[in-house]
Amino acid sequence: MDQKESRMEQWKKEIRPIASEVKYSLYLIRLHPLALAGLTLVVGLMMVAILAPWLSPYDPLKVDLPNKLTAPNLSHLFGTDEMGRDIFSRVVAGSQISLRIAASVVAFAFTLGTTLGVIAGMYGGAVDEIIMRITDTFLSIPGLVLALVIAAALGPSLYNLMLSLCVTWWPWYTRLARGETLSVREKQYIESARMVGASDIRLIFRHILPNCLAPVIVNASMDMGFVILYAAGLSFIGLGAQPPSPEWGAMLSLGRGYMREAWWAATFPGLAILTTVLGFNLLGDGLRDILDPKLRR
Amino acid sequence: MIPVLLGVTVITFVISHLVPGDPARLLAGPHAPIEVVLAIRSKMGFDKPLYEQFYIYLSDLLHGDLGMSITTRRPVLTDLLRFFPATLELTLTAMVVSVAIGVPLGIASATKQNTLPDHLSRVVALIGVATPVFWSGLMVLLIFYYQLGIAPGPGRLDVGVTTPHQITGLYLVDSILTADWGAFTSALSHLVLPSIVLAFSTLGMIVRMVRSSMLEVLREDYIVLARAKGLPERAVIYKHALKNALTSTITLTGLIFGALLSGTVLVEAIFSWPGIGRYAVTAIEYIDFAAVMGYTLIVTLIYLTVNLSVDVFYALIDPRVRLE
Repeated sequence: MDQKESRMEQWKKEIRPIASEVKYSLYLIRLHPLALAGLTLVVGLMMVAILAPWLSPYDPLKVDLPNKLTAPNLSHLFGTDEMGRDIFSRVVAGSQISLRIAASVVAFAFTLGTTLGVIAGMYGGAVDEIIMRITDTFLSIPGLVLALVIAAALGPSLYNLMLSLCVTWWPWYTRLARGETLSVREKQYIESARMVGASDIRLIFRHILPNCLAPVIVNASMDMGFVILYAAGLSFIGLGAQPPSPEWGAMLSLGRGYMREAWWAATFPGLAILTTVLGFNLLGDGLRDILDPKLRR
Repeated sequence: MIPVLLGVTVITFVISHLVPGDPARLLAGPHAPIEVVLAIRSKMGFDKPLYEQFYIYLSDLLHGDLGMSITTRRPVLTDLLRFFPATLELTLTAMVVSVAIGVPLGIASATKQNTLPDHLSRVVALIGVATPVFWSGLMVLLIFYYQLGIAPGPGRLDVGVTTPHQITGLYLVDSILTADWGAFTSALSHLVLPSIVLAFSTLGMIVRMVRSSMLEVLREDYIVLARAKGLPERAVIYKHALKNALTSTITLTGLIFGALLSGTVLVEAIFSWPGIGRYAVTAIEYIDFAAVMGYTLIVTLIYLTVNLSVDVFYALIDPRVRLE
């Protein structure tokens, strides 16, 4: 019992500086109008995605032919599409799809990329050489094109789209994490930790990783937006989510066909993409300022 | 560059083996007898071991053989060469527009740091990055073409205008060279909307880069000196600061060119622009895989070449890099 308590105490002691840093960051966000705007948009979007079943007045897939292509009005805020489906409900449902894609792709790229980057930076030599050669090769193909060709090879589906974006995204994190590791590795506290006998694993997880995470987190926030943008673009050209799925890019692609009669069908999904990506970008841009130690104090 | 290129071919080779199903069956069609499928399989080398297939693949590439397109029934390379000038013209115009707007915005942002112009140009840049080009393209077409009728519709030229005599394939250049002013104005007006839409997406990168490198340069001693000796602020900014700030911005050119070049996939689809991007999208619709692979390889090759030239050019103009 005693030992458990002392562990708890120890943990509390260790967590205290981290907690105060987090608190201070939250305080800084409030002073940064753009970051705050971004945070508001992102939180708003998450709320929409979570509350989707209660927010949407209609079933996003329900066909209602007598009411097709109705202009926006009180019962259909964003109007209806060519099958009479309620566009507002579809945009709301689309937020779930987009967030799911972005979160999975960024989580995958973040985990794989950062791990490889830290390993490359930590061990150097042949390991570094091999990892970075592979990374550079992936980065030498423009991202959208690589995702496009993989998605095209695998065949159009939402799952394949996510897979292709994962393959495209991880190298950026490897490069970033490696650079950060290289600069952290030479610091004195790493040397001290090594001298008191810390294992490589402990060094990586307790000392190197936490200290090179800030720019990676900024990148991850921005990437949430870019993944959504890419996913919508690829769905727009027919890779990825297939109609009648309420994915925003796929909705735009459908709406394009009767844009002249019904401007709302393409306009609202596009606005949804724009605000979402803008939210993540503003947040990332603000986080860059806030997490920058040079500007921090 | 050679190892990277080799690596890229490994990636594309692997991707082309991801295609689900039997490629020979796909080529032969669903109703072809099994003998035909087997014949295709051995003819295309699908029955050989992988390393041998890779060797064949590589030697075909080196001979400029990107395979046949099943939609156009022409060699993919011929198709790509034919459609490429349209894409190049669009990309270059967008680049010019992006720099012409982005650099002044970046300067304004840096010289008026943390004031309204700075915040505004940052917000404009961020909105630009966040706007899906396939949506803004549709919106500008809807407004300026369908509603107001002041912009020309999709395509590279008005209906009835004859294509300028092909020299470079870039309509602007060709029409100037042949003094075909009707075609020139038509081509230029058709470029306006797509190039602005495309340029808007990379504006943010330029503004951010110019802003941060200007801010860095403005803190240098020689700027203090220039101000101390009484030079007007204009001269300090445009002659002393900008020149030094722009050299580091040049390193970004490759990245921006890559973003614009791949962005054409979506923009060309919207504006029915007859470039390699639209070619690739059509190929995807018809599962014309050789064409999609060819497109990927060409775009990557161009992207790598541009990046290499940027590095060389940067070394040429910046003595600090040359010395290392």
